[in-house]
Amino acid sequence: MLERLYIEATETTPRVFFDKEESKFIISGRSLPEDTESVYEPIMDWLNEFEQDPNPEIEFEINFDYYNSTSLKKVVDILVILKRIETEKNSKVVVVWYYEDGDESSYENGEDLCYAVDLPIKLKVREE
Amino acid sequence: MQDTTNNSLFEELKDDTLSFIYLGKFDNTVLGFATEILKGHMTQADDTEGKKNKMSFLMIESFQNILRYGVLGREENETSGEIFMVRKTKGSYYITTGNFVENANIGPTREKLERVNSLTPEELKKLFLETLQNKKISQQGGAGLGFMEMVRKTKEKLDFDFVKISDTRSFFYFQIRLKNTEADNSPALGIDGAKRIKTLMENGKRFIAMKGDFNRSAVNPILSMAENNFGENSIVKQKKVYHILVEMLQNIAKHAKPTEEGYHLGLFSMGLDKDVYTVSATNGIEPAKKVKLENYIKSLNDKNKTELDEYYKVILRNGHDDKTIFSGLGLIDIARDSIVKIDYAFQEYKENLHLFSLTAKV
Repeated sequence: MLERLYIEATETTPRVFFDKEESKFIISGRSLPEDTESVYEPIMDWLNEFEQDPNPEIEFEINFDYYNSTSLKKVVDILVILKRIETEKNSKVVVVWYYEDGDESSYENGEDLCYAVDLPIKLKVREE
Repeated sequence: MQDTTNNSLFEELKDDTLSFIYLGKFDNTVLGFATEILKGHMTQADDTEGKKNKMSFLMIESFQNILRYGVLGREENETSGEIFMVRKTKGSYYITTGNFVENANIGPTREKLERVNSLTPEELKKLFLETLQNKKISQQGGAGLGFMEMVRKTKEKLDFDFVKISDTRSFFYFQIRLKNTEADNSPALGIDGAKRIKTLMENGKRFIAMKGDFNRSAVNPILSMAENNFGENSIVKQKKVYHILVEMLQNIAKHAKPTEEGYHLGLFSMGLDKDVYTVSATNGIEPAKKVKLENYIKSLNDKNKTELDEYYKVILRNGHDDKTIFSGLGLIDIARDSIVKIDYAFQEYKENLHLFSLTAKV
């Protein structure tokens, strides 16, 4: 069984909690690193391994306080893997993108992602 | 010698309700402080969560732009450095950055900027989505995603200028505007203002300046930011600088004449030159207070170290005779810590409002 991935949040990097057994996939907090590559590397590695034997149903949550544009690009990379899992492994994938109530641009970015990877994305208002 | 940097800055920033200017050490901590200052200021009814998030995003993207190129740093003969500014006028927020670029990189950057500026919202959205999907994008943000998002979020064109410094390097000014109300038709603050501010700051050897309501704005982030620039100085010296800073900031809060909007508008700046820190505060005062204040500072400046220490003890015990102006020990403290006589300047600003600037060095 793939081990759980837990990464503590920092001022500029998100909290990551991926647990195959409990079927929890959550990225939350701030994602503002200058160097997105190294920050997202363990996430990508984990997902690449997960892709070999994914769960049949996946609800993937992205719940950012703040994020920069390069992080958005990394989210696309994540969703591309999920899209592959959906088409090649026939898993049922739902992505939830949380946005701040009243924040149009964050809502719009959710739509952008949905379009960019052609995955159904639920846009949900963040709750405190 | 009168230090007029603050007065000149005040004049340049006269329409700002908030200005934050930074030319100091650049790292991510500065961004944290700037965000905190802004949050402390964005408390009006029209400062929605959406707008706050937008401003945070815009600040982060702009700031990371500097850090990305900032590796260039400054060369030996270059006295100027990077600049980061956030300003709010009545109708709009502005974020301005300035950093060195290699002349060889100007072409592609200018091209990206001109392209995003020329696109309709629909075209921009299309380009943005295409870029998001493009797998070959370099990690250092070379695709201009940041620029695109800035335009999409502000619905304004990006303002910029490249000023040539040498055959190989230029200084890149970049400014974005976020309208506070869609209806704001005031002309945009141009890049020229940013250039003037940078010159004023550099001539005055300042690395930080802030104008705003010092009652509402958090004093703590300013203190933290100053600490961040303390460098290798002795703890005793750092403590003195810190102490003067606190006194000066509280001085603004206490003595600034409230404006019509009820703000305790003031301007604070800090500089470092050859191990000597300059701390300077400016606020509006009623003209009637000028004479008393001036005489009081003169009397402090006339005292030598021992006399100041004595006077301090007396006031500590008995308080001031005239409590209409002076309540605390702030100015005496500043006089005791400063290595030069307190430098002060009065300037007529508006009817019934004088600017009073106070400068000390440690």
